[in-house]
Amino acid sequence: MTTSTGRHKRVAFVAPRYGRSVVGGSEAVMAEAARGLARRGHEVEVLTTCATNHYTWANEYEEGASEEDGLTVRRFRTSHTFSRLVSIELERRIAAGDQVSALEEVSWLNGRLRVPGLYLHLLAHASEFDAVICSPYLFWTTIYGAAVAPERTIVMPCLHDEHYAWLRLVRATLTEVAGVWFLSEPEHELGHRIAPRLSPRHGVLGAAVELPEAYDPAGFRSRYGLERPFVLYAGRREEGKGWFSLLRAFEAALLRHSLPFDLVTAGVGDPEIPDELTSRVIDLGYLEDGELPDAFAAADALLQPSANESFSRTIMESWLAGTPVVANGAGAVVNWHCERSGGGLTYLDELELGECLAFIAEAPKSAAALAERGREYVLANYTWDQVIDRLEAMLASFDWAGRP
Amino acid sequence: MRVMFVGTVPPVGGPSALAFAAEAARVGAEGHQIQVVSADMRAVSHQHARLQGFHLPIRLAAASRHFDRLVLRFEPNLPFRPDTQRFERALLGGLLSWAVRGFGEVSVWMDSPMPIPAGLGGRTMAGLWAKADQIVVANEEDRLRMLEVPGVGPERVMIAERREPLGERSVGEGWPSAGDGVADPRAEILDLVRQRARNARRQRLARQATRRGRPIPPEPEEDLQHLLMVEGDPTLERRTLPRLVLHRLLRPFGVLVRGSRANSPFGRLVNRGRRMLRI
Repeated sequence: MTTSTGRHKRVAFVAPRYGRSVVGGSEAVMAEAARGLARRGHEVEVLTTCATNHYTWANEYEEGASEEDGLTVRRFRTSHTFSRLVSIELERRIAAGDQVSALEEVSWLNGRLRVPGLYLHLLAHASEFDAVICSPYLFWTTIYGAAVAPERTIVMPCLHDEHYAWLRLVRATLTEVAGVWFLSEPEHELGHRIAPRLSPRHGVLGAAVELPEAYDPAGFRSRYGLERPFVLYAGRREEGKGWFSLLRAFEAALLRHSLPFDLVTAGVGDPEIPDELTSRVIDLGYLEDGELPDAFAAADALLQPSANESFSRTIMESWLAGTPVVANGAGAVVNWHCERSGGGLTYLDELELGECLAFIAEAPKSAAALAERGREYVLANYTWDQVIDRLEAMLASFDWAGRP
Repeated sequence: MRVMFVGTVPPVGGPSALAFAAEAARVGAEGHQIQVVSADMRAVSHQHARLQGFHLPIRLAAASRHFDRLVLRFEPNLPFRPDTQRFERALLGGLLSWAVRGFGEVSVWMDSPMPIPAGLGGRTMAGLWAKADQIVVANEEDRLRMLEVPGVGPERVMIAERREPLGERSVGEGWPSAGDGVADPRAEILDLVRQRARNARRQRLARQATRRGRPIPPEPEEDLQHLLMVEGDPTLERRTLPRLVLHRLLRPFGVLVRGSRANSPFGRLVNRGRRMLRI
């Protein structure tokens, strides 16, 4: 079988988590890219763990191979035998930006989780693949997976400018692998800063979101009993994603402006809503994939409080649904998207968030016009056809003579 | 009956303001004489007045002789600003309790989340809750919270009837349009967002400084807004200077200008900043 860029390839996607119930941007991009390549006739396998929870890494799926969405998925059990006390101390030091030795970096990485079965499988079978695609950068599966056959490994790092990204392990991985797949131009620039001798075969391949056939905002409101206007936060409810800062800023905005909006949140993690906000913040918990597009369409705006984004799928999905975006301006990537598209508002503190929400409340037609610019931007740049074209071009540039 | 409504009404204020205005219209339609007083200049009210902080109890106390019933809406900045300190809240709560005693009937409408102070502030507002014949809240969660306030029984607490928004609520809001033909509406909207946030920040800083008896500090982002133009000296021409540095330069500059025997000035200082330069 041939494709637009030559013969079909055999590709392995290595991800720390895979499955319908997994919430995470890089995991979603990996899953959709894998399915996209398979649809074009490439032979695709997913190598992943049995875990779905990225805090506990408990083995929830059965180990072994299965067919999911037309792909072969091989799951391997996670192990944790390292002293958690040592690991937590190293985590604290790294997160604080302290200098740690190379050995300590390895200790830290090994202390979170290990997937020996996956590593051994790759050792035995990596040469059977044209490419091994690993993501995201911070996980054992990527650092160790890429080390097995760096000459045929592409890393989609999903970099954020945080202390972890500046570890030697990360720099070495980005330097030694065959290719690096960046999701945005700011991430690309960060990659050059982190790894001055970045693998020469790298590029901004981007990511994409699926275009739903239809939206049902009224049905969504009815199913979840949402009678009042709302703004939406969709994602993991954790400090790293800016959730708790958003709660504080939203409360401040409510005290300053007569806002009609509730804040509706969907995702994993305990939202820890303070008592005084229970009347205005509604937790829907985890939503099935099919529900999210309707949630975006039903919202008056999407709030994106995370400064640590390498692509930000939710703002793309929101724009696609015709919903305005209000994002944390401290994040280089969302700033870049908002500026390039001319379709998103950014805030730098709670006062600016309040004003942005006042704009959404008081000028909904203008807000919708901004969202329309965002939608045009997504359709022009981030459809899966475009991304898979770029990925195929990168794969075509790899031609290993040693392939059996 | 003469009824005084105190609170923001449309076109600003969101659905709560709509419900509040609908209540005023309903009472008016029953043949009562109503007067709506709002702090927001954009509100379509009978009167606009300063109502923030201690202005509110003073106004209420004065009005209680002329009105039989008071309908008071607790909303953002009325009566509590987000940065109102605990002691000020307590004092204000006590004054409000005192000020409403002259009215025959009192209804209190609470926006959500409800600004009910805890501790001392909560205790000083006991008089207001005791006086209120009716407490209208936004939703069931707030109704339950209200019932936790000592002395407030379920017969007096009700949920406001929900009002649908009026669609595009652009009247008087002043937001730039983002429709067809506007080159970069995002930049214009963000300019206004930043400007409004800056104003709010400045007011907050001023209040904090006043409370502490200190001068109002300059805002960092405004510190590079003044352009110095000194004709004839290319090294100084068109340089932007921090405001504080410019202030220090003014006196020697004035001495030089006054000491010059030339008929025409040798230099000009041009203020291009957003704020007035006090000379």
